[in-house]
Amino acid sequence: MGTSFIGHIDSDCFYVSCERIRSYSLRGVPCGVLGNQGACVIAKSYELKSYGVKTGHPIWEAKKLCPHAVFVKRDFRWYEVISRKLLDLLKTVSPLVEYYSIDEMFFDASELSRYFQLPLEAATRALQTLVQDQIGVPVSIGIAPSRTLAKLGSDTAKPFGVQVIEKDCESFLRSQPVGELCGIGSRSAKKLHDRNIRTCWDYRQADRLMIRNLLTIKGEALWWELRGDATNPIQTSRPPHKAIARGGSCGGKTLDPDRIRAWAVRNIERLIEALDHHRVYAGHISLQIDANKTALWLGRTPLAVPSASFRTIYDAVMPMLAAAPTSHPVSHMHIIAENLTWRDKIQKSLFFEEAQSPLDQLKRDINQKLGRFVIRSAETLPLHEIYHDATHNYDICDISGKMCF
Amino acid sequence: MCTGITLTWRDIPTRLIQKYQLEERIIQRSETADKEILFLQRHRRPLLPVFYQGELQILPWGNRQRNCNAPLAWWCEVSTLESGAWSMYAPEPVEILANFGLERGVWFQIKEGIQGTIIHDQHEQPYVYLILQPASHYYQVMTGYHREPVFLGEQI
Repeated sequence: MGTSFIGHIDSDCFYVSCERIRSYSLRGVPCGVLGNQGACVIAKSYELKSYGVKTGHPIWEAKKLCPHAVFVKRDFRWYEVISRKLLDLLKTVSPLVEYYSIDEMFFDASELSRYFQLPLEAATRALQTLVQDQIGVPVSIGIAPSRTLAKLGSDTAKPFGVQVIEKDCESFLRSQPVGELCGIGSRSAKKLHDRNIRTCWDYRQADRLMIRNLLTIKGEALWWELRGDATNPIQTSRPPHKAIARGGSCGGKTLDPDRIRAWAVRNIERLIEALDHHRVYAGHISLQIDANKTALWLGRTPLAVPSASFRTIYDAVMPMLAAAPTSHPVSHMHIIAENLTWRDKIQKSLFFEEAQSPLDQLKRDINQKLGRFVIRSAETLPLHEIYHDATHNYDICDISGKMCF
Repeated sequence: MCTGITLTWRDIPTRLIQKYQLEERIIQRSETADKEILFLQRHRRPLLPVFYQGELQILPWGNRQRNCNAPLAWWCEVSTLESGAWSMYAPEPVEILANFGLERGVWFQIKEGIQGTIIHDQHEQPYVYLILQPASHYYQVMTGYHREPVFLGEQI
C-alpha cells in the first residue's frame, strides 16, 4: 500500500451529535437516543454517560439515573446523511478513505501535512476543526503507522481529541490494557492475562510465534500492527458479503399463517432492498424460523440463476415456509441470501428470466423516491400495526455500515 | 399525555418573563446547556407559552376555578373536539411552543410544538387546553402512557 500514516476518525457520540446539528436546544443537554421501540438507549451524550447511563439501558432505568435527561427518537436516515457528508469531506483531504462504519473511517494520512501546510499534529487538529465547522460533528482522530495503532489513538483521544502515535510509542502502549485492542475479546484477553500479557506493550514484546499459537494468524497480525507494520491496507470498497440477511422479531409469538406469511414477504422486500444496495444477486435463499429463541426450522433453496427478483425469491421462500412445522408459535424469522454475485459480473442467460423484472425496478424507483414500502405486497396487509402506525416498525436498522438495535 | 413542557428562555421576551415572574421557573440541565423556562401542569399557576393572534403570549393552562364557565380540565381529546362537544365554547386552534415535553418522568424532544385549543370564559378570560390523541406505540413504550399530545409536523 505504501502509505506512511493511517488515520482513524471516530465521531464522538455520533447519533446525539447528529441530532444536535438540527436541534440547538439539545446542545449541552444530557441526551439519549432511543432505539426502534422507544424502550432502549442506543446512544448517549457524554453528559448522560456521566450519570452512569450506558448503551442498552432501558429508558426506565436511564430516567432514574438522570431525571432531567432528554430522550430523542432515532432517525437513522439522518445519521446516514451526516455520515456520507463526513465521508465526502474526508475524501477531499485524503487520497484513500475507507468507510468503516457509519461513524468511523480510516484514511491515508500521508498527505495531511501537505494539504494543510502544517506539521502532522497541527494538521490533524486542523482536520478536526474543519469537520466540526463544516459537518457540525465533533470527532476524535488517531494517526499512526498502522490501523490498530490509529484506532487505539482515536479511542484514547476521546472526546474531541487527537493523538499522533509514532512507531516507537512505548509509554503509550504501556498505558493501554490489552483488552482495549480491537480484535481482542474477553476470552482472548484472559488467555493473554494467563501469560502475564496485560498491556499493549507486553503484547508487542511477546514472542510472535507464541502469539500466533495462542490467537491464530489474526493475533499475529495485531502483533505486527502494534509494532507499526501495517498488515491491513485501507479498503476503499467493501469486500463482498458472504451472506445478507433480513428478519428479526415477528412482533410477538404467532401461529397465524397469514401473519407468518406477511412477515416473510416483508422480510423478502427488505432483503431485496439490501441486495439492491450492495449491487449483488443471491444464488441461494435460506429461511430460518425461530420459536422461543431456538431455531425451529431452517430451509435452503438454490436459485436457478443468481437473482434479486421478488417473484423468484418469493417462489423459493414460500415452499420452505409451507414445509415448516406449524405446531409452535413463531417468534423470529430470518431470510438469508447466500452465494452472492456482483451484478456487473453476471452472465446473462437466454433461458431464464432477468435477475430483476421491470416491475421490481419500478417498485424500487418509486419507493426510493416516495419512501420505503410505499409500494409493497398486499400479502403484508395483516401487519396493520406497522403500516397504520408510522412510529412502529421492526426494522433492525436497514442502514448500511452500522449494526444497530 | 404531557404534564410539562419547557421552552428556551431566548424565545420568551423579557417583558413576559418579568410580567409572569418566570425567572423562578428557569432551569438549566447542565452548565453548558441553554436555560429553559419550565411550564408544569402542577404549578400553582399553570401557564403555557402559545403563539396566538400573531404573537407569543403566556396564557393559563386549563381551568381549575369552578366560578367560571370554562371546562374544569387542562386537556381535551381530539375526538371530542372533532365531535363538536366543545363547540359551545367556540374553541380556536393555537400553537403551544415547546422544546421538550415531560410525561411520567421522561423528557422528550418536541421539534415544532404542540397543538392546543383556546377558549374564553364569560369574562373573556382565555384558557389553553392541550389536545390529546391515542399514543403511538413508540410514545407508549417510551413514556408508559396511552395518550399523547398532537405534535405539530411530526409523530413521535
